[in-house]
Amino acid sequence: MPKSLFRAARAFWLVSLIFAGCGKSSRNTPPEKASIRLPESKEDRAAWRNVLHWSDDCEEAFRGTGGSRGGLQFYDLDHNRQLVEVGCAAGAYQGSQEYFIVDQNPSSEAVHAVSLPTYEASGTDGETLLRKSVKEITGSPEFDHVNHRLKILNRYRGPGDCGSYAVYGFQSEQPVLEEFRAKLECDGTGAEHPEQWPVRH
Amino acid sequence: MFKFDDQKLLSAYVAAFPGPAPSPDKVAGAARLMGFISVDPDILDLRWAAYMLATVKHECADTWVPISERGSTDYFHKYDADTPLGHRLGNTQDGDGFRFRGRGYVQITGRSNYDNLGRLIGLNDGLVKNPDQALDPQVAYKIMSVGMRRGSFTGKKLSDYINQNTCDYVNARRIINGTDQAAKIAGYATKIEQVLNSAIVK
Repeated sequence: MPKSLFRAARAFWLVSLIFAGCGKSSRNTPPEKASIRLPESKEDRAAWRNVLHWSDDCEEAFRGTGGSRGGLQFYDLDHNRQLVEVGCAAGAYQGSQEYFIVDQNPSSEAVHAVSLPTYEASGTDGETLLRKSVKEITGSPEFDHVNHRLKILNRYRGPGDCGSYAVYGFQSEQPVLEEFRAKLECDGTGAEHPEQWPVRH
Repeated sequence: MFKFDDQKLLSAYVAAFPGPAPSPDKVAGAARLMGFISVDPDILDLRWAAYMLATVKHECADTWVPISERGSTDYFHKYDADTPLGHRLGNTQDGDGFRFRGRGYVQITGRSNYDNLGRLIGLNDGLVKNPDQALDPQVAYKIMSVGMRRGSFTGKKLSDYINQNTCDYVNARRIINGTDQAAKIAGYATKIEQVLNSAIVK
């Protein structure tokens, strides 16, 4: 990524900090970042798209499914790196999103598009796991601010009695799939505790 | 619009999906859903009807009625307005996580979805004011029909995958969700298309 664009991104971030007083905090936002203003408007989103260049598919899905706010979330990975979550489709009961790592380390300023390793439930019985890597991932994300891990619960159907639960670490440029659990049988049980589903990876 | 022979429908379905005989509640639920599809002026392709029915079979766990997302009140705090997930769902007020939990044939979730879909089916803000309406079979059907035809859930719509040139039941899953278990649901659609064809009154 050209340095000028990266500097534009960082400038935007700093502007966000300057206007922090307008923002609202989140239950999951660490105290030191509690006042950072999330991009709330379509204009904010457009500015970030000029920097991150997420896919046309993602943007069209966002616009076509009622995305009215910025649709972006920022999570601290360490002192110099942020994980940027870009909302794509709203989905009926869970959305899809793309991820980018913004590295503000002066020696390695960069933006990395993230590919997430995962497994898809395939086959005519829906119970064969197929390894794949995706840029746009479906599911409900949750970021663990203490351990700096991204957790994605992907329901195979609305009731949530089958699906997958993936945990990603970000020690390097690309995420590492540290844990993958999946409940392949849709049997009406287990929806509330995906962290207890069978380990598959 | 379609007309079906109800007895032929039931016997063909039972033959296509062997197992315990469907309960009277399931038969009644499926018959009601068939009634909505039969008179929907926007569903003119039998394959669209087959894929919608396959979706309901999967999403509603073979109950054939609109259902509500499972979980205790505490479970839905993860969708509350002050969480990133709740923010994403358009939840803005205390209790929105539980208030706008998944409901219906395709379990729409979150204040934004209830607001958008409610307006699309002509209820204006009625669905936000009374989200339980999404469990009413007719309302749930309208949400599913408009959402799947217009691509209101994921941006993908029925005509993208099922049209004059192609019938891609596997990728049609993208209309609702990702592609997990897409082949399984496609198998349902293929069988249901045969069931519908065997019972249609011409």
